[in-house]
Amino acid sequence: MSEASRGDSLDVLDTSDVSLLDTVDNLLNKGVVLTGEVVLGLAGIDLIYLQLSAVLCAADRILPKKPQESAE
Amino acid sequence: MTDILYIYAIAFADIEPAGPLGTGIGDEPLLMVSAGGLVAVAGSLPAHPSADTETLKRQDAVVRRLAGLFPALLPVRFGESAPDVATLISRIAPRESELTAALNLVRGCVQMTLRVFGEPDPAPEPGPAISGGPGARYLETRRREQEALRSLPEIGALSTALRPLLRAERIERHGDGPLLGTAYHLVPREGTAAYLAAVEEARGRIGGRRIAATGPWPPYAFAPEGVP
Amino acid sequence: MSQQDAVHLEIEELDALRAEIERRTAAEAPRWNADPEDVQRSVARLLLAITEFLRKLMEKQAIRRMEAGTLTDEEVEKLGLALMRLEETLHEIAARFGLAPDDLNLDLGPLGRLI
Repeated sequence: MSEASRGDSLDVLDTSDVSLLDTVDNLLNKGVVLTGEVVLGLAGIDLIYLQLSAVLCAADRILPKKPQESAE
Repeated sequence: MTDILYIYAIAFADIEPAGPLGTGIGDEPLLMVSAGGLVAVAGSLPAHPSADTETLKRQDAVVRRLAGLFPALLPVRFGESAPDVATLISRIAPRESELTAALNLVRGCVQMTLRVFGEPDPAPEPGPAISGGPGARYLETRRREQEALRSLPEIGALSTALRPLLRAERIERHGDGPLLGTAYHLVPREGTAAYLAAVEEARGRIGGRRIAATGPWPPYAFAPEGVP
Repeated sequence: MSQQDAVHLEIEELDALRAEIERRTAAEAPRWNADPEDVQRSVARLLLAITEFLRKLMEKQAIRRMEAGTLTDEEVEKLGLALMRLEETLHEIAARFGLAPDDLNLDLGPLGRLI
């Protein structure tokens, strides 16, 4: 890498490894997640398909509030 | 083989795009699916795409184009799909308020990404002693650890200089290796030149650490987290 | 919109980024397969990893509720104890199968990054 002047930050450059990491990071790690998919297998055979989109939700958003109980 | 409905982005329903939606990663025509006050931009694909770099770049190009057509747009993660329209709507509808808030946040903004390389600061003094029983102390310790993973005090001078230019900031501190952490910045579209100038100006004030700024990107890092 | 890069990086930093890219561009839905040579240990690892994943998920929710102030002090203490003890138990069981705590952190792809 040449020690070019750091002031040329406004030039449009070709995609570098840094930008490629960002593309991968943005698309695989970020963005809205609507489904959660994992396939679990044994001996190379897909056995379990976990589709957790309907399950992953904070309980305090969807469950009715429990009435406070007196000392248990 | 039935087609899947492959999802690219979410936008407000009541605003027409500024131009034709164009095609998706499989050259399929893009369409809008209404879900309450929101729309999902999607395309019909014969199969689930695999995550190679060419496909990812293609999807980024599609999302960029869409971001230019809507005043507020949330990119959807790669690989998201639904078997049909009804299922797609059922995934979006329960999250309408969360997605609406995120759309309002990102309206008119782009994401700039700062990668920070270099040594971490020496470990800070332990915080104030935690009161309470062992369970409370455990949770508080874990909470502080989580909080530490969302902060980069090493770039404090830079963060201070940038703050007036940001709508929002999200930080990820990484474990090891030369990449110390990443700051994702939400910047108004017309403010990117000022942002880059401020980064240039403050670059020498972060203890010899180095930074790489990329962008502007559509606001991937400001989509709501997976679990509410 | 155009993309702009603002700095040149050393070779070492580029290698680190390349390794990161390779690590992340795996196949579609992540697949986890047991080692047929030691199925019992592999199955144990899988079950423990799933339990640890759920434990971490609950822990994250507990911390969120604690920060939001929607838990009483008593609830915080109870949750903290339960999460702490569950983690200890999982590590103990893992050790009996010759597994280190780190072996329970399977990369569950997008699910892993939800938490």
